[in-house]
Amino acid sequence: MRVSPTTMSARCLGFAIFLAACSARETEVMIYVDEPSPDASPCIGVVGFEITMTGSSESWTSGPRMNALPVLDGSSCRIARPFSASGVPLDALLTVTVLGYDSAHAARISGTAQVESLSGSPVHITLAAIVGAKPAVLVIDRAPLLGGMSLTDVTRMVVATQTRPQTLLDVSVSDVGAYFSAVDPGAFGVDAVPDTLLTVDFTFVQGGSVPRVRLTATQNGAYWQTQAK
Amino acid sequence: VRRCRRETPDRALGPLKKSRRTAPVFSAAALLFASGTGRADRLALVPLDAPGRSAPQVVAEKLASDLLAHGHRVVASADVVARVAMGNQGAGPDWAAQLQESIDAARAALTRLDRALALGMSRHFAEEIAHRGGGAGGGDVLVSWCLLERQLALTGSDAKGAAAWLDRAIALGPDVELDPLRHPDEERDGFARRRVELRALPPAMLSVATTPSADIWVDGVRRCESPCTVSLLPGRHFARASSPAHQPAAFEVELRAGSTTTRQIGLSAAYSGASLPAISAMLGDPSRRTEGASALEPLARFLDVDHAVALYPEETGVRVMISPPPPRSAKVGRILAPDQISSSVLLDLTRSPDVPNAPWYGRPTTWIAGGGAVVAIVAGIVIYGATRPAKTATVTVTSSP
Repeated sequence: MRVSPTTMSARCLGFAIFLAACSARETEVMIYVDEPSPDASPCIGVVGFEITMTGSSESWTSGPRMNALPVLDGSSCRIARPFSASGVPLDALLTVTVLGYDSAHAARISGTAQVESLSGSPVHITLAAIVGAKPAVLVIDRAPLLGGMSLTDVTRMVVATQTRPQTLLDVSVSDVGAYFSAVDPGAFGVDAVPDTLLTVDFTFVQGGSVPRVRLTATQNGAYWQTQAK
Repeated sequence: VRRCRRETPDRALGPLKKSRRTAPVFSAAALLFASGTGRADRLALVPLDAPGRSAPQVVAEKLASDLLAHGHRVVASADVVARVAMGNQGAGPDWAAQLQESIDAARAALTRLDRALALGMSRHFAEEIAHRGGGAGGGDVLVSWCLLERQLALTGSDAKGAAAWLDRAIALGPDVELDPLRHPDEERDGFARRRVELRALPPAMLSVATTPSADIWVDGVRRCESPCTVSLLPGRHFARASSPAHQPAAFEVELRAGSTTTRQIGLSAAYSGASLPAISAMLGDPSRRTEGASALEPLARFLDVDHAVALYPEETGVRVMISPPPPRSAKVGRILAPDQISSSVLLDLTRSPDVPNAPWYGRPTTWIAGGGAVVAIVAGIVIYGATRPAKTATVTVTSSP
């Protein structure tokens, strides 16, 4: 069968375009977040993570990745759901940052990696405690304290010592967002727990309130567990 | 063309009648097509005689005009005849004897006081002798011609001219002894006396070099083989260089006493194929028609043309043969009405040659296809490089397993 020169040329051009189209698919790359050492337990009190990837001209943010419960055990410091971003340049400098937050949206743990090329071996990010993070963690099961109100209606929560009144924690929910209400019991970083007798005051939307609640704090390893009196 | 139509009544055209009705449309379309796609060919038109019929010169002239109008280069039929005939016709003793008879006839006319006839004949002899370079039949005929001219000058009361012609006769044939039956005593005496005087002059030298080497004939006598030098009496001389398989070269030269004149000549190959009358005879015989058509190919090669277009009157039209024939054309051509010839020839000449048995690497389409493929691949690579996005990845961040 004779093939005309025009047909032959058209076929070659079509084949080249086909190759070009086929070769445009993206590569799948995994970045692994490694738990910190369980002994140090810097992850305790973390209720959610946020992941940010920053390239030369673009950035990708995961938003809150909330856990079902706060991390109370050093071996359960895991991101609840993976975060995927597409269109990330394969051979450009990429900075990946992972932050773990408590219920007051205060960062307690972080990990950062700078990747020059995603084509190489898998990238691992190791989490570590943030310098300056509040060392004590107060765990409060808030639902029983609300007198039937919803946690999402709370606009402010103030925790103070009872004997010699000292505010340990003052959380304005509007500044915290989903971290306050998405996970209960909540875990809050505080500087210290000088008294085991504590009071909690809740303020609700539209000015509602419940009577002040008295709590007893009990240290449970790396965190303080509270219980209503 | 109009004359040809008058000579060819419609009823006699027979099968050509229908085609003649459509000829104008066909011709216009063909000429338009040919003008758009044709290429310039070098062509020779060869009108041939047929038994009892003269060569179609008018048709040939019309065809030459149309071919020239479409950018072809045409060797005119008269030139073809002249170039083919050159070298075929001898200039030896037979020619000299025939010319001598004609000179005698002119002398007889002069004796009858028919000077005009003798003068006209003598001018013709001059052209013939010059064309043949003095021929190769000896110097007698040249001397006779010069003495005829002398007689013409004397009868014209041109004494000076008569003396010049006597000198020229002696220069052309210093050793010739005049025949008493042809030349009167006065002429022979004058010739003898003046010869003594001219022989006393210093001789003139003619040096001739040719490519290839050739026999050099001067004043009808073979003198040497070139390159060589000849000693001659001063005066005007005819010379001729001839070599086998080459056209003879003829020239005239004026030599002065004591001087040397040099000539360098290149000889062209002679036409060795069938003569035009022989080709006509073959075409007139149906059993030898193919042979006759084949004989046109050496003719085309000799004339250094792409095609020889032969026109041979046949039946009620003209047989047109193109040699070498264009692709898909019959070697013996076909019979056409005169007004179809130009369009048909132009259409035939536009056909590109076939290369049916060429190897794959010898076919133009192979190279065109290969070049196209390379260009397409390069274009594809360029398009790919220009349009593809930067290499990207889908990155998933998750806890270590």
